[in-house]
Amino acid sequence: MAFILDNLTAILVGTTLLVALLFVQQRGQQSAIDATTRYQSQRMTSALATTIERDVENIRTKDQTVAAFGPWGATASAYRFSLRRATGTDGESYTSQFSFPTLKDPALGDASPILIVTYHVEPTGATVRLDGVDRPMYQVTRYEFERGGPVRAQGVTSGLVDFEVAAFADDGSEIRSSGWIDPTPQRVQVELVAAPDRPEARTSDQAMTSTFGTSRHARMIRVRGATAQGGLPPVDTTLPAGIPDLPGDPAPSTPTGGTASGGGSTGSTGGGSTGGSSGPAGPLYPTISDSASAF
Amino acid sequence: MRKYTLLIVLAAVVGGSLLTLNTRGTLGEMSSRHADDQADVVARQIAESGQSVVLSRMMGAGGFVNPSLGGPQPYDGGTFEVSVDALTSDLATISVTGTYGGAVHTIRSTYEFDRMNVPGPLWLDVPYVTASSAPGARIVGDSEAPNVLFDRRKYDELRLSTLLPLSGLTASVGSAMVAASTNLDIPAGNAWAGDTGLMEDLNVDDTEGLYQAALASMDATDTRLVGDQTVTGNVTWGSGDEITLVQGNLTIEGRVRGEGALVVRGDLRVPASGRLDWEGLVLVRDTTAVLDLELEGTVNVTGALAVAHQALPPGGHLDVSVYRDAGGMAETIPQGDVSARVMPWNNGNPYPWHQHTHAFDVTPVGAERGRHVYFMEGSGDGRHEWETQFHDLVQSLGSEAVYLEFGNTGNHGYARFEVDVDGLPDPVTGMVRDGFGGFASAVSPTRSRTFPADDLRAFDVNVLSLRALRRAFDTVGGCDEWPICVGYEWGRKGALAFRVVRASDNARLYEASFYWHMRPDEQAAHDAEEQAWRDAIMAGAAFGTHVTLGDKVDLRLDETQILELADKMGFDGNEVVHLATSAFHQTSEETRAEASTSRTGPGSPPGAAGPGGGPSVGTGPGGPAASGTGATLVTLCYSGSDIQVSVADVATYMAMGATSGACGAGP
Repeated sequence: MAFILDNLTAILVGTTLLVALLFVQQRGQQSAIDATTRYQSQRMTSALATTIERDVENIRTKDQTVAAFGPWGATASAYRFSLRRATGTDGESYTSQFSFPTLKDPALGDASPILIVTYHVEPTGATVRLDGVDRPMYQVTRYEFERGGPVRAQGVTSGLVDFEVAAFADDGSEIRSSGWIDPTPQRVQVELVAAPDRPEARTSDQAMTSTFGTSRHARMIRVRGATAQGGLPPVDTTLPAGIPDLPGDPAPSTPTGGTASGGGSTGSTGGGSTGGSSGPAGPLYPTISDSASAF
Repeated sequence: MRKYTLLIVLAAVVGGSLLTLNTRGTLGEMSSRHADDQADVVARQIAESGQSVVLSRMMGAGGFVNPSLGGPQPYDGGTFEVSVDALTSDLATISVTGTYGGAVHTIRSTYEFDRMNVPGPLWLDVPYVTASSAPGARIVGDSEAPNVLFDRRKYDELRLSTLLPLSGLTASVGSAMVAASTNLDIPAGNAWAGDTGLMEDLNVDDTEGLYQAALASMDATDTRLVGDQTVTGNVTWGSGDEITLVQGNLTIEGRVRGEGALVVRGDLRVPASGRLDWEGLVLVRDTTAVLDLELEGTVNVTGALAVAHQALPPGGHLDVSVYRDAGGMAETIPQGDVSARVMPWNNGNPYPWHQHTHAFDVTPVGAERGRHVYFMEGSGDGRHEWETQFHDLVQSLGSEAVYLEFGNTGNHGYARFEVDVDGLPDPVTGMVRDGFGGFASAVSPTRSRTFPADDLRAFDVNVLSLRALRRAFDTVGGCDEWPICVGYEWGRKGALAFRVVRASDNARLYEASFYWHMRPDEQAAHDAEEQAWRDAIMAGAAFGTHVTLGDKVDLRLDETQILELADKMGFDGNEVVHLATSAFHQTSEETRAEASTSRTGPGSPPGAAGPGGGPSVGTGPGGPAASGTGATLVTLCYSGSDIQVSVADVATYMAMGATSGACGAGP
């Protein structure tokens, strides 16, 4: 007791210092989490943007696509480059689907087969409150379709609150609305907005002062092959031709032969037909509440 | 007290250091990421710039040449390197790799060299032709265009085979060309026009188009010689891309030298005493029944010689129909607002136009209007306001933002226009088929820039060839009354159209259609005229083109001389056709990962997906494992379990689906 009394002051000071250090440590940890979540959000959107950029800068022309897949759809030679828009629960519209032909392996150049790549955006059901408004969160799934199929889901990125794609024709006109785009646009702008996850715990003053904004990533991508007049891809003609339907396609397509069976992790169903016979025309992608299907 | 002070200071130092370390670590990663992003962008830009450099260096006069850039070229803090994957004078595949800050971007493109071609050393766009040649004459083509060509379209269109058998033409011209060391070719009628036609690089469909293009491209620097010309001395006409127009017959008894385009509107005669030395294009065009091309003297043409003989029977006339609706026309009501039709159409009959003038160019007989239609002049009525009803509409529009538009320009009639709008330094003139030139919008060359309607000062259209308009004879083409059919169709049956369009919603407010029309009651008269024309030919009246080549004629195809005129006359010139491009990008991060092969980690980091691959999220990352590097640990929830990872690995795990904080803690 005498020892404690003799060193009471030292104990009080030491305890105070220890508490202070713990406080500093906790703050540091929370700050690190805060910064890290922002960082990872930026990194995630950057990674997705990079992937989209790689795909977009190798977009193929209509002639190249027809050579790879054969005439497609109800209008026979419609170019499989499309945008779709939908409206979220907050009333804001976003690009719900972005589909185009691109190289499977850009390192091979013209020798690469062609894929139809689709970025499909759908709400996750979660919301995040930004600027006093509850914003729905979205996830983006990348699908690939090679001649003969099946459609494969290649990855999901979540945490987005907006996904915007605008295509620019050679005359500079901008297209954001739902529809097929033909001829190949010269430039494509992709804008991703992500909301970082919130740290689970924070000090009271941090809760008062910290704000959680969004991480925006935009890229304007030149489609250098848009004006190409040749460069037809290698085609394995033993595989059936045709391209499967997408959600919101204007009418059940009658692919000119070919099979496109469903696949991927989304449990989607097959479509298309073989040898010109009528096959199931349902979408191969998960159906979403795409409010903008009329075009 | 000193000890306490020391303790407090030490504690402050320790705490501050911890915060600083955390902050610096985070900032360092942010900064690194930013630098990586910047490197990706700059590497792309360097590759694109390098490609532009390469394209300019590989363009030779006769085809592609090796850009010969050697090794890496420094550029804007990075480098670009060129790899020639394949190269001939006609085809090149070039890869350009831009490098900056570890990021690598490669653009691989294939190009084709498309040389400008002309049909041949001599081509004859005439209804019928005979020829004679002295043995010493020389006509020399090249490997792609070795022979003299006869364009048989007029021959077919005028049904001359019943009057002048093609065998006679072939025998006459064929033997003359053999004497001149070449041959005669008669391509099919459809081989001339269109994207793959013989005239494609000249951007015209026939030689009449070439003549009209030459006239349209003349400016103050060019030479116009009015009336028939006989040259007895030595003269030099033109240089470079100048155009010399002789508005009549040209007889050269002395010597003419020159460059550029020599356009003769009549016969061209070089008697034995005369001499013509020309580098470029010589174009002889006439509309009379007989065209003489007498080259008996010394003639050296290096370039090409073209003959256009518009010896055509009479027939048809220009109709102008006008449609208006100040509220905007609709596709469902293509005739527009017909409630205010003007005389003579306001008689209660449902005519589908606001105004219509049959035979605009020939009625009234006492004062023919011609084919030059004046819509507005001097900010007021044009001289054809009654027929066009144009200024009346423009006035009603006030300052409404509008633009002008030409439609169906394929049936252009070689029409020219002139438009004047407040703010333009000078009136804009040009050929309708080429659009509004410097006054065109970015959207389309055939659409003007937008302007307030009341800024329009003048507008006129001068149709130069009925035959190049939409042919609308009531007895043919599936329509008994073409003006009615044109009025009831939104596309105007392909007739050349001039429109005023409201800028806010692209609604047509005014439209005038121009077409080559003939009524059934006029057909009989036309048939009689044409029969008389035929009878005269059958009876031996002089008709057609005659070409005489003396032994001092040397005509050599040289496309480089024609190329000199490309800019001025709107030829394609030598072109580079882009066949294909692919791009390959490696980010700075991927480059580092590739370099440090010994590095191990918890799986593929986000963004490290290979080219063409998708986001790595959810595509098989490695299993969760705390890295335990000794740095600050952070609790995350991954697959239902709490894990602690270093700050450096948080991003990776969150990209794999982990959430911050312990499992079960709500947001």
